[in-house]
Amino acid sequence: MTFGSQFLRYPDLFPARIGGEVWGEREVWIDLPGGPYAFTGLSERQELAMRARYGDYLREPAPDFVATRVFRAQQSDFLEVDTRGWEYSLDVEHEAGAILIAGMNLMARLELQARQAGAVWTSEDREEYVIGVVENFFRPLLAYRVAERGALVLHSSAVVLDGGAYVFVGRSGAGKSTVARLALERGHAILSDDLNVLSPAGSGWNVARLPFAGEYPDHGRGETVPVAAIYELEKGATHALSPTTPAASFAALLRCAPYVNGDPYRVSRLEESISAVVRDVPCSRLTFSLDPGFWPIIEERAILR
Amino acid sequence: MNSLLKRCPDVRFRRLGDESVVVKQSAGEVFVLNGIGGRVLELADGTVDIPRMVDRLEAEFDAARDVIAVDVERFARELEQAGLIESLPESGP
Repeated sequence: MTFGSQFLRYPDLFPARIGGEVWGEREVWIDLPGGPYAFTGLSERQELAMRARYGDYLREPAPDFVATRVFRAQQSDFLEVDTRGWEYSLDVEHEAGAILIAGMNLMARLELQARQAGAVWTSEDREEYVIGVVENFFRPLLAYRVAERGALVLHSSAVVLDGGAYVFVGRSGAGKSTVARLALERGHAILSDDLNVLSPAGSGWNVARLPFAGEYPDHGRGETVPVAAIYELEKGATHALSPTTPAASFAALLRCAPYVNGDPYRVSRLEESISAVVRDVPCSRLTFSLDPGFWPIIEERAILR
Repeated sequence: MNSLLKRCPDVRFRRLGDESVVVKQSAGEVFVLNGIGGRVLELADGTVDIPRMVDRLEAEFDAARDVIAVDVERFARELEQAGLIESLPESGP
């Protein structure tokens, strides 16, 4: 299938360079790992929607930033997509010099070597659609930016116990959001239940939440917490913690490092970071049966730290 | 399976301890192979057939030749089914 043909009426006309008619002259600056990020070329409605969405993360303009320009596209550029019974996934094409993204009302280019790092073309400036469009670009942008800097974004749920973060990774449906719900019910703090960023910190790693929550709402600007352990989630009939080999841990983390793990041109830096995580952080497999019975296992390790 | 074995071009691997992590990039699949499995993949550079692999691995692993030969044959078949290696026709003399 041709890149973009699922979403675009004219996939062959996908923008070959950053340019076009902007929506307006409004801009928003966001402070998140790998940034700050500047979104420019916004209409007033787009600006207001983004300010409401990223309120805790907004910042003043800074001299070093990652710029994304937002351009106008025609509604007729995009196909109507029947979303009934459909799981949305972006269409992504990796090139040596750019990453191309196509989605619902979205075309985007990521050109990470340039100061003008990205461009979004959309036909939407209605509040209820703007954030979805922007975040489908922002998530990969952020993942690539932090990967370039030796950090990594992980599909994960992170729980804080006694000052340490316990990061639960797993395939879709493995139970990450269930862990977050059970943590909240038990009185533990959570970071994100969908995407967290791990960054090197001395001889260990820190984790910070990203404002891209899954089922649980944004808890405001998050703290940075030392990673105490990483658990690969696996559903089972009972609760058990079992050791994993470095290769198995590496494979589990690579599967859960979205966007960059599928990019043959840029994955090597990510893999180096994952090797370092596996070296520095205790990793094991947690079999659990989607109920709170596993907490004593985790809490005991937190006490022993 | 006596033809030459070659890793598919979209396959990357790295050793970690006694195992290897293998990525088939085009399919977004990640595999973990044990020692012999990882070495079979590593040796599959398009110049080595199974009998020569067995020669190499016999020198590296503390196991009987016939056991290694069975393992290599099995791994080669599984790696080929997983799209990680391909068989090349041997060129004539």
